[in-house]
Amino acid sequence: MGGGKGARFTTRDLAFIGVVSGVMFVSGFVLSLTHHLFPGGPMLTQGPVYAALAVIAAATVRKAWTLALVGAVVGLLKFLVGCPLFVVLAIVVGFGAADAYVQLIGHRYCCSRCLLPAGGIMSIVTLLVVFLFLVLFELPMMSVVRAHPVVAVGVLVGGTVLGVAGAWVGFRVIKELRRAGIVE
Amino acid sequence: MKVPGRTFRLFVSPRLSFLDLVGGRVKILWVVSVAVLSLSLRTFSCLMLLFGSTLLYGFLAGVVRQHLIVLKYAALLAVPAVVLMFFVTGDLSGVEGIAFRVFARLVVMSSAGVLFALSTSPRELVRSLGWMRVPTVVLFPLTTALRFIPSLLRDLEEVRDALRLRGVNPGLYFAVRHPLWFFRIILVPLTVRSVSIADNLAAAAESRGMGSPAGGSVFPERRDVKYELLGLGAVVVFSVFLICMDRRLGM
Repeated sequence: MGGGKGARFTTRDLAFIGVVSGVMFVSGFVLSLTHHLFPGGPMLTQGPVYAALAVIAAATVRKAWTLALVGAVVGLLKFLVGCPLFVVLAIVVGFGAADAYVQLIGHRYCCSRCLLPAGGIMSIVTLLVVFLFLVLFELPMMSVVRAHPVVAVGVLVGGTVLGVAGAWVGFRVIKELRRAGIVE
Repeated sequence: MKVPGRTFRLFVSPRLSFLDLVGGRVKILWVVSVAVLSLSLRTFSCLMLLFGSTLLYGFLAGVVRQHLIVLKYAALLAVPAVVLMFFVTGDLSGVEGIAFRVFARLVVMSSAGVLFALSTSPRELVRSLGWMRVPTVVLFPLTTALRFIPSLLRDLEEVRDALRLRGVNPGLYFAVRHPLWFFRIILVPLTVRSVSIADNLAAAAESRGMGSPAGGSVFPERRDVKYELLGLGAVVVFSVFLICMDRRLGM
């Protein structure tokens, strides 16, 4: 693990990404019970957990497009067990956007300056894509948003804050693991 | 085929069925077409027909009982959603429509995925995705995640047991009172275990030739083109029929 921006994923990296994606998938399976309750509900509950685990995966592997790959695997797993297609697309786009941000600022998932905003970007982009689909396809939750638009704003702000908080927890875990010598 | 472990059985069909002959590629195509159609169809009767196709799939795959359990839980979850929407919007006339749409769109979409998962083995899934030119960089983590899920649940239970021995009860009450501590005490041992699992898996995969220029060793695939074409034709004809009917009824 480790090895720079242009380095290819090793078998160990891929296995670790798979294991972390499995953890994300299982946690998401439990937390997605909030799916029917309010718009963006799953992202408010799953967001911090996803951000924490994604940060752990990215900071352990430290290769370009790790977050995007985690998003693709989690999205595919969710799709295969019946998660609505728009949620899957939202996850893939959200993780991809977070990764694009890290690549744009030229970091290597190294510090809080790239990892914490990445957690926030991941959450807000995922929520925005979910809301876009709610509007485009007139999905049931849209009636709640139409009646009280402040709900949408609250969910977006809350989701972003929780995403950053989750990324911070992930970063703390990684710092502990680096200190213990388990992660480079 | 008898597979041990409750969670693992979610992803492996316990016996061969008609749909096993059709192959994973056609099943993936069916799930994608159901997902797209459930969002694009405008008339309720067409959505019900689409739902009928999921029931037929469950019957052909021999997983009707499991499908009914999933539907029961989906209905139970839809009830509070509809009640909540009624209280938020205050519009009783829209509740019926909302209930129909929750059922018709989301439940149909979820049913297709659940049925696919119940009737497809991980090996079949990986082969089908490989045929669809999904790169190894996505396929390998996907297979690892599917295989890891049962052992993950076991590992989580072991971590919780270890914490209980040290006098910490990592239950819901603890998670609500100390969310940061809860995350850290669960995530740190879980990450350490994940790193060790990744090492072992990588060693096993590389011993089978993964990552080498010559490629890994593979088992020959049993294919029956006749059944695949039959399944493909059925999916395409049914989708086109639904789209045409939806347009005609929607006019």
